[in-house]
Amino acid sequence: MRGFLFFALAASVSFCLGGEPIYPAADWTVSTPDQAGLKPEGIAALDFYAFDPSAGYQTDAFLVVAGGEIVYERYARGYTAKMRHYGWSMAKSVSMALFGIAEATGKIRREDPVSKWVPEATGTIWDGIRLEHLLTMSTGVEWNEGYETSPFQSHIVSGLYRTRAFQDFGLTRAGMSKVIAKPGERFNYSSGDTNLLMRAMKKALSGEYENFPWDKLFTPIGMSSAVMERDASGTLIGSSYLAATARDFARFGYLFLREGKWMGKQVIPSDWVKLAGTPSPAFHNLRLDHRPSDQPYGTSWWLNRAIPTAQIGKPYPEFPDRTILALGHDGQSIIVVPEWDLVVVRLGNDRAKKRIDVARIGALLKAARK
Amino acid sequence: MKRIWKKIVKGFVILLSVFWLYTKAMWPSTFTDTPEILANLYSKELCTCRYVIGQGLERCFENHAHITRPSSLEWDEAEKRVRVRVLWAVSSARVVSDRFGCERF
Repeated sequence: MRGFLFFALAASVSFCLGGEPIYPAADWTVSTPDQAGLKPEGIAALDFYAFDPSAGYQTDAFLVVAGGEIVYERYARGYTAKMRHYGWSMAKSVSMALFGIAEATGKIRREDPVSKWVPEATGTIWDGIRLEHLLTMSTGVEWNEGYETSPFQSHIVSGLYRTRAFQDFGLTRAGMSKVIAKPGERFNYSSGDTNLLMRAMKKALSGEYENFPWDKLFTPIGMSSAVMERDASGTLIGSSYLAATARDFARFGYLFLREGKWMGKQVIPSDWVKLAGTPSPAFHNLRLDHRPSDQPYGTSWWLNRAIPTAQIGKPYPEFPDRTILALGHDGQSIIVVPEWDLVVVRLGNDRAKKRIDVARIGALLKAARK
Repeated sequence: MKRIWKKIVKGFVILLSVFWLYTKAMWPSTFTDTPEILANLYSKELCTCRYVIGQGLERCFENHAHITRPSSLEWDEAEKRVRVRVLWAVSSARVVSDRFGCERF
């Protein structure tokens, strides 16, 4: 009895001192901005900005998690808390997490050459390129990511929507034939890289691959709405095709906020969470197209750090330095802010020229803090 | 008169062939495959929008409108399947499972 009382007392003290973070069980608990140290009028200003009908961008869902609880949530244009939404390239950050988990099993390593897992790449331009280059988009191999801007030259449009010879998106990437820079030297954003990584994982994990995302990531953190689509060869389109509810995307962000831990269990190795927030070495150089980068990239996450050596300023001045972002086409975003103990999820359909400004979201949140 | 018409048709066919060859050379297969790309895009994205996201047909179409509209569009709500035609290209996509969503077939 004494032992139990001591344990209960210790647990209470630990909780009061903020020792154990709150995790969502079956669903998130909902609190108020005030209780999370946010000014209600500040959140009202954020709400007005996110859903401004005259702004030109279209927000479908906006959610703020502070201190482990939802403190603001709103849906529009027919979406609800129960409905999934496209994540587009936010999937890349999820794929990175899956790779980190796979590496912890010892079956695959980021230092492995691409050709170890993609035999078709042996003796081609992919010699000397490692999986870590795919994770940091620094293979040095040409890739055009334009969707609407250059559909006829776009490799991503071809990879996703051409039938002949593109049944396997990962292999499509292996078949590319133009090397522009040495591996690891220059950044070039490429969905093809992520899908080649997915193909390498498929080979390494073999029979485990099909259910791996659910067994090792989605189910442990309660991301029950997650749908991850595949190409015709059964390779996950880890670059683009992940759909989930806003609340479940927030779970994924919250996992990174809690350094890969979920209810006492290390779901993603903590060094992989650190890796997400570490600028890729390629960022100290110009991009593959010889233009300076405008935003630093870590390992499949966008960063908010200034890199003076590369003349990159802080992209979102009001968000703190350790902020990491999973960003997707048409304005999808998961923003993880460790300094503020906060996760923001914004889902939308910004197909018009006007896009929501993440920097402005940062400024409004900063102003909302007490 | 018949000869003149024959010449006009012949000239038109030659012009069309030259245009076809030129586009093939300038944009190797991509430009001429545009209907196929669009049909595949529509079938996959409309399938996902309707059966994975759960949006209404109107909203799905509005969200995925592109340069050319499908010439025909068939929804099979029972089988969770979409069939799209853009000019000569036909593409179908269906829900394969709860976890893996839609795939073209």
